[in-house]
Amino acid sequence: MSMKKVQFTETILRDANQSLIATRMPFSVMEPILETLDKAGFYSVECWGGATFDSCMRFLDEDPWERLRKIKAKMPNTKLQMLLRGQNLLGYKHYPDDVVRKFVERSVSNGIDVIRIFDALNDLRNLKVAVEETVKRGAIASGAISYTTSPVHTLKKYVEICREMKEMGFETICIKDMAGVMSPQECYELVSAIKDSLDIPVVIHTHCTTGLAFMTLLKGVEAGADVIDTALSSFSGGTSQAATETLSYALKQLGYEVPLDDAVLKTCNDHFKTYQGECLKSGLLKPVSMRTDTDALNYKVPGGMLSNLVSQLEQAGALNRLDEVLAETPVVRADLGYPPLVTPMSQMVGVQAVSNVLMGKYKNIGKEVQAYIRGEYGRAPGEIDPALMKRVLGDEKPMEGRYADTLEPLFEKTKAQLGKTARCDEDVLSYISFPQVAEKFFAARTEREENRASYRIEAM
Amino acid sequence: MAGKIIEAQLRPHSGRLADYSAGTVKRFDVPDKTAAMLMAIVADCSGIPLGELRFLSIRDVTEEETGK
Repeated sequence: MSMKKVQFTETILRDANQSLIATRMPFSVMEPILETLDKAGFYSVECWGGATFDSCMRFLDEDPWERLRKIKAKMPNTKLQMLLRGQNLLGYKHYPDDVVRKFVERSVSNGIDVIRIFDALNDLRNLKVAVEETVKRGAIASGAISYTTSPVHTLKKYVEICREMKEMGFETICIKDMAGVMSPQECYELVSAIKDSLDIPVVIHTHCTTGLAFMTLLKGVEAGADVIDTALSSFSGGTSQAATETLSYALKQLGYEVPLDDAVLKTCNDHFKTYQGECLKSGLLKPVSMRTDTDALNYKVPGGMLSNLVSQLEQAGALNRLDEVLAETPVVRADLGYPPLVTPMSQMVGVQAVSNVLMGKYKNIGKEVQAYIRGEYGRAPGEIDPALMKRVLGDEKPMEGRYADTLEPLFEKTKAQLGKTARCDEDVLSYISFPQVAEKFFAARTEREENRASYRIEAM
Repeated sequence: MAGKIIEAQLRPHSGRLADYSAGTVKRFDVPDKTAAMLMAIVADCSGIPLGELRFLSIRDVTEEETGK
């Protein structure tokens, strides 16, 4: 009997970097090891998208597009992967279709091979344009489900979503558990349900936050998952992914075919271990991020959201009402039709729960919550409470189509507006994505190229 | 032969003169040391009080540009 093959997506350059050190790893740290990383045997290396783009320009004075091209040049044999938030690209607002298409096209042209596309609400209409363009440009589109549990998020519903994703052109399905709350049993059931119904590779993405990840990945593999997301051990654990070497070791021993070269993994990890030491010393890597925290399991809210609730209540001088807010959070979530508690929904639900406790039930309804109820973020997974809807909309009907359909094309207009400031289409996309950050970045770039030097001449 | 072009500006006199010239200079294809030397020569030869002199940029020019 042939051994089942399990492949790995390495996240150290993107998600591990984002989860543990706020995406501050500069290219100069990655560069010396990329050629070795290219020989490890990964299914793909997630290296771009998510917060890397903003962080490159905002904190690291790097052009994200240039970083991608440089990684590609050093890693010609490994598929490079990015994370894309569907119609929101790398941010939280909706962009018009022409911008989404251009962004995908330029990403693929600059070196991306796999685009993992997701929507916070799992509204597939928000993935449509991105997947179409990804397929058209010859890259692999991976459809990610924002994982959550609720009465409307049944196995049947998830399988339906996956089936639709496959029809849309996605080549693989990723179960994306960004809060690290998916249990081994839940993962086993979900992967089994997908595998029983569809012939499509399944990828599992989870975080170690609550300590479940290793078990969850193992059960996922047992249920037939084809690819797992892991991070080299020096940047694994805590809010990051489970360790690559550990899972490679365990799965090989269990008889799975794991196409990873352990000696290469060790060389790569030794490199990042030195950087880990520097990050710990400078305080960039905080030991608290590396710990296991089971609060998310007890309160049924993601770790990041819990700390946000605490900080909001602290600011209001009402930390003593945390229990009430924690009880109100699932109620608000149910009223809103059970959105997955990921950004931006986790913030919306959290702020509304705090407001309901401190000021009275829906006395104040946040602007974003109102926009969500109007349908501007997409379709709610379940039914929004009719009374709440009436209160926000009055006699108005919620939006039926995609919010992006109401947006005018933006790319050419912005390109003309920017004139010489944007030297290429990539610059225009950087500006559309993060206008203020890009503007500063462009100015700094010009200044650097002009090679300004300070001088002082004094008489002898 | 290629030469260097130095763009300088006279700062309007405002009260007491400083006995130094300071600021930022843009350097186009001119190394640090060369720039420093050129500015010092210009300051020395021009006879302009240092407090009135400010350098804007130094650029390497080609033969074509110098018309030679």
